[in-house]
Amino acid sequence: MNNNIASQFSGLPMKALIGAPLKAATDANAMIANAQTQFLLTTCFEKSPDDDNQLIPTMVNFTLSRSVIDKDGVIGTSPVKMDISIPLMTLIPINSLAIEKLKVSFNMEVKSSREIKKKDALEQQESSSTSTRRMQGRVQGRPQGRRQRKAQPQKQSNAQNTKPNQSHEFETELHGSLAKSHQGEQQQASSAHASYEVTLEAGQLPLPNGITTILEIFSKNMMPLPSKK
Amino acid sequence: MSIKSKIDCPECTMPIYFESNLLLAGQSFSCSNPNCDVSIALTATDKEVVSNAFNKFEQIRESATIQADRHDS
Repeated sequence: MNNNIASQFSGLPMKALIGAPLKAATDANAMIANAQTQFLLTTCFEKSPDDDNQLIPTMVNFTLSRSVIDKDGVIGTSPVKMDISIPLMTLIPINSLAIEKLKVSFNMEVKSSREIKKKDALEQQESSSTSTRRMQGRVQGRPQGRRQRKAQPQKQSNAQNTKPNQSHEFETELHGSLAKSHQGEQQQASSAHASYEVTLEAGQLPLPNGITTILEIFSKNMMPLPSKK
Repeated sequence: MSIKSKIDCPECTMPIYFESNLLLAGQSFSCSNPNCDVSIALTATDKEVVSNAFNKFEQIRESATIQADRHDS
């Protein structure tokens, strides 16, 4: 029974059920990555005035303020303001542009139950009052009465009857009745249950090495400069 | 829609967390390092450039969200 239930799952298009959403998510991620690349190239970079084929990062200016220690070793009361130019690219949380989690989950439940109830009452009576059974047997020894003896010349072909005094035939009659009674209840109940659950989780892809390197270079080379007065 | 992001502190390289709408409003943000008293604020001259970038980024993010919702449904 369990094998039959398990075999019902064999027809499931598992490849389509699992692969199709995953492929669609991958295509969506690729489309998002393409849009993200276009966004970076058009918004976060601009063409160099000297060479159109060269892109330079778009810079935005920030005002940085920090406290300084004066020559007497005392922290100054008014913070010093500096200008800092930061690549626009470093402000954008680029790594959030992806499908972070894909979960494909489906349950299939196959239940099979079988119940058989059988109730029968059978009563058969067979009566026989005139049936005649012919029994043939052999009696060893001498015949005890003449009237019980019947000569059977036509059965000479039988090897056992080659000696008439050793083969006898009796004719009997059986009178009686044959009764058969059956009354019962048969009940069979069986059930089977199977459940499949498939869960897929696709995590977020890390940033490409090129973008990570650019961001690291930008971050390490951000240097505040004194504000122009 | 506000976008949360961070930049590295030019002094201690610890993250400086900010929100796009507050940044565009001119608010300053302090370094997360308690021993670093650096704070930064966007200059008014570059406000439009940053606002334009965040808007475009928001559009892409909405598109990604729609794609994700399609897979959920």
